[in-house]
Amino acid sequence: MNLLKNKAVQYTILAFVVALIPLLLDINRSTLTLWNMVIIYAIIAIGFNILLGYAGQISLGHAAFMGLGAYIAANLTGNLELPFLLSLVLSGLIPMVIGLILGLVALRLEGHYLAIATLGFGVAIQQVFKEWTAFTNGFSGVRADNPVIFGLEISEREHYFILGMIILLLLVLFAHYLLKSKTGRALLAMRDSEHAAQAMGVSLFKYKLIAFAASAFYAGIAGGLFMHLIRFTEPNAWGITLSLNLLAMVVIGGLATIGGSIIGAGFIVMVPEFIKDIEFLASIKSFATIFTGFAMIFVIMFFPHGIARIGTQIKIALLNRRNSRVDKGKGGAPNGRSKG
Amino acid sequence: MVAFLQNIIAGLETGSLYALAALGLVLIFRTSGVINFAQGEMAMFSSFIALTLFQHNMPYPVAFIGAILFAVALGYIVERVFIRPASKANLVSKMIITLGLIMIFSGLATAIFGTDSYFFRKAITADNLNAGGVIIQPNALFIIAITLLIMGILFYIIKKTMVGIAIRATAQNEKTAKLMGISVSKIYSMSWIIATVLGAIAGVLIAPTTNISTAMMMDVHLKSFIAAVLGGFGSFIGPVFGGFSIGVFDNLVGYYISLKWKTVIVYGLLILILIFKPTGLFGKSYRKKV
Amino acid sequence: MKKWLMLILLSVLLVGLVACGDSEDASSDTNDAENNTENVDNENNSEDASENNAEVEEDIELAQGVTDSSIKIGSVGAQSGVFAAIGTPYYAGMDAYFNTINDQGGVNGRTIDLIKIDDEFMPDKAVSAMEELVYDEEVFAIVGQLGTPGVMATMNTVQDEGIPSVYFGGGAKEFTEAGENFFPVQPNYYYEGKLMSKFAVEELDAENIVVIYRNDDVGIDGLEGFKEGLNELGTGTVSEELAVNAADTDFTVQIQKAKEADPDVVILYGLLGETSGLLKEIEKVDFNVDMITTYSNADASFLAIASQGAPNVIKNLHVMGWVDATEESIAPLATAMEEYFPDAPLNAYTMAGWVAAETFVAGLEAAGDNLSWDGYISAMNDLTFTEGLAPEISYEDGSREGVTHMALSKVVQDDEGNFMFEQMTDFMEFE
Repeated sequence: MNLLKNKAVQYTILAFVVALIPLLLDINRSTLTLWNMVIIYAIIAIGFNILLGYAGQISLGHAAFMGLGAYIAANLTGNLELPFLLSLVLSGLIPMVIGLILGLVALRLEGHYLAIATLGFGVAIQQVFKEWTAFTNGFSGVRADNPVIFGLEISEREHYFILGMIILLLLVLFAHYLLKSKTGRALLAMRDSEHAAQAMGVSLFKYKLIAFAASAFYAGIAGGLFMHLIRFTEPNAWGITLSLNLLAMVVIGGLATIGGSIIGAGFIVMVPEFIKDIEFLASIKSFATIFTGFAMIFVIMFFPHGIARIGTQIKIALLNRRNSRVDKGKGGAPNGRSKG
Repeated sequence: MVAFLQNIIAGLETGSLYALAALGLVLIFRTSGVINFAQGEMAMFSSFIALTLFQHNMPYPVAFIGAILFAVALGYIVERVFIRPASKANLVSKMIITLGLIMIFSGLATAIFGTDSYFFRKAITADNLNAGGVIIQPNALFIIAITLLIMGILFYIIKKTMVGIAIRATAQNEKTAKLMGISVSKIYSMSWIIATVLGAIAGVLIAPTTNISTAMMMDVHLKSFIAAVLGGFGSFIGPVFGGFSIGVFDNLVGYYISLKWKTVIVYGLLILILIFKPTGLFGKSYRKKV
Repeated sequence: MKKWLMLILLSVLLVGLVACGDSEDASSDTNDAENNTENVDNENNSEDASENNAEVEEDIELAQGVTDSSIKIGSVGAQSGVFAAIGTPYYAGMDAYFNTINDQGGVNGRTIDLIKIDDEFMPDKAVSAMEELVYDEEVFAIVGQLGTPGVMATMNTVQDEGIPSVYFGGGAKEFTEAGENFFPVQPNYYYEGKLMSKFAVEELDAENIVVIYRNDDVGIDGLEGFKEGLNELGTGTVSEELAVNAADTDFTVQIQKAKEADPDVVILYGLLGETSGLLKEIEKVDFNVDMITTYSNADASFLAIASQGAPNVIKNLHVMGWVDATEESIAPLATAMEEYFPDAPLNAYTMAGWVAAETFVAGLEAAGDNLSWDGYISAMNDLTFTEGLAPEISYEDGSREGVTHMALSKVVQDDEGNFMFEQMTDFMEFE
């Protein structure tokens, strides 16, 4: 029983159960493609959450790292014919090094200034994708084959889903242990107050770099997986829209929660699809855009701490109500309310 | 020399438009700490109102004022309906709300006004001036003047009037401001209204360059962020200076270095400047309390 | 602890499952249909081998999406966001044609049922949308897929399955080399660039040419084609290649540089936004030079916007055209639009959508009742279609260039002050 209370074990079991769903049920290929996209966005969202939710550092340029990962994966498996898994790891590691550079920038900047500096970084890198045709083939784009692992070609979406789920699980576990460790506590301290953290002996230099490197690594891996799923990419895909979507995923799902990142990724990928299927709205032009916008705002308004924290939020609300009732029963003023 | 001056003049004109849009951003940021990503889309919506009025044979000034009145209502409604109810949410969440607003406004604009582009006239249509080969459009001078005027007015309001003091007090500490009898919600409401109006002015003035369409503000909007950051969110002079510099610099880099690599160079320099002046060119360095 | 996390994840999945539930029945059919098409393949193979046509005539296996009374086809393209400006009129044109055909009783008694999926101009969503059409909706063919990145991303799927795909809303050169089952119609920008160089040299006597191009797939292909064209013609030089970004608002640099080069002709290879912006700047500095722009701008709505911003210099503008849009030839389109989409504009995109539908139907008529994929593809392979809006579309001898006949028109102003295009040359090819 104790084993089941271990979060890592829970994650593992959950991942295996979910990974098997497509094998057991007959699910459309197109739907599975979307599910695979959810996994890929979940990976980059977890990395981004380490950065924003735990370390308190904002970035509006992370699409660049994902794009970089995608191009690296395509070049390594295509031109250099490296094995898929090795190239996938490299497509995480190389962006990680560049992430370190952005981390250095972040040492000097904070808040909105950091946001715009990273946005500038993202736009500049996207422009590099457009111009550096030897690496990216410009707007004609690059292609990649189905991944081959130990001689097995993964062409079915079900199998890709399992592959993605395993990688997601590994990265979830890595994030879980990283954040539970001293590093995680240092990041949180830094988020809450840089000065206080510094006073306690937390090295901002070290932990900002760690946060940026980790998030860039996750983004690169996500890019590598994207490349082998969609098997084509071109520079337009890696712009500011994706970076902003990423921000939305993490906030909607819940800052500083791993599960929230996954839920947020699901929200951003799937909600427009659900809305598109609502027949009676279809007569309004651009209805999917409008209602996705409303859905995002709705979630933030009613669940400001993210979908992942709905349970906690309800619990607190119930407790408050009970407390105030008790307070009233005693005839005292209900001022002991805790704020959500 | 002629080409150089031509690039400078045009850069100042374009830069003014970035600056106008940036002033709105800065105003909202200074009062509530929120960055309004939807500033550009709201401006686009207001510009469509001006277009619709103009198409219905209203004179240009009436169309312009109509757009401004609409912006007043729009700013009020957005603050009241979308921003205020989320007052408990943190700042990043509020930014996500403005991301949602982008989708709503761009979607609504498509649904209401359609997907076409439309030509829109300049504010001043007098003949171009020719100063030794350098062509100057009276409209460009008008736009630059308007920008400087609005900057001056905002500067005056913030520094010298009671409203300004209230805004500054709210920005510094909401609770204290409340205790001092300032109606904080009114201040928020007002800053959104003014910011939306500034966006509308920018939109209507830029329309002759970009045409009116749902995508008209995309580039201007992005550049206005950069103008605000480059100049610094702390003042109203900063963003105007930032806007001018980006407009001019964009042209000079394009002309003398490379059109293809312009974007990379300009953004690279932005990052470099920020590394050396982390709160923008006009930002005051501040010390955070523990 | 945190059981709710698992619960929510599972319920998210469940919601996903419920949403897909309705198509589950369909997916069991998928296998059948796949078997069917395989049968078709096998039979056609054996047909090739034994040339036993008579037997095939008797029991033709219809491909997926075809019944005795209907044909289901699909299209993927942006219908929301910025690109809705293209997608909306484009699909209106397509629907207008199919509605007209259906109201006349369809093709060989089969009505055409078009399923459009919005990919928001995102390649990953395009892939999922394409899979939905091919595997779940089981459409007979893809018609008029819109958006180059989406077409490129879904190319693998379309190639693997061999489903016919007719007309691409985009002019990338790659479409011409994608495979047997790809039938591009719209001229690719590379070829257009080549032809443009011919017109520049032969019609406008250009030697010194400046090319201002949109710095993306549209403009870069056009620029490359233009240079290759000059190269093959052995005359004329490009003295400046000036990039313009899609969202630019300030065109001073490009026009200053162009002016300094003192060219005979300026090529404006861009779409509406930047082209009209460039024209305004040219008007501002009173730069009097012949200009040519791409077929993407060959419509009345472009003219309406651009002429207001540059009423004088626009008379120096020449436009490429691949659609033979005389008042007479677009009458059916105009009538259909009036009937089905009275509020929608009639512009180059509407015409493009109309041509997409027209070309697909031409292939259907040629294929008759032999509506297997191979049947359709071989009918298309023998097709030279000249009755449509486009002057000539031919896929004979494995050609996949799309439309190669284009004409140059000039902007003129009539006595009442209206601007219009006046055709200067015949429709011709590069040779």
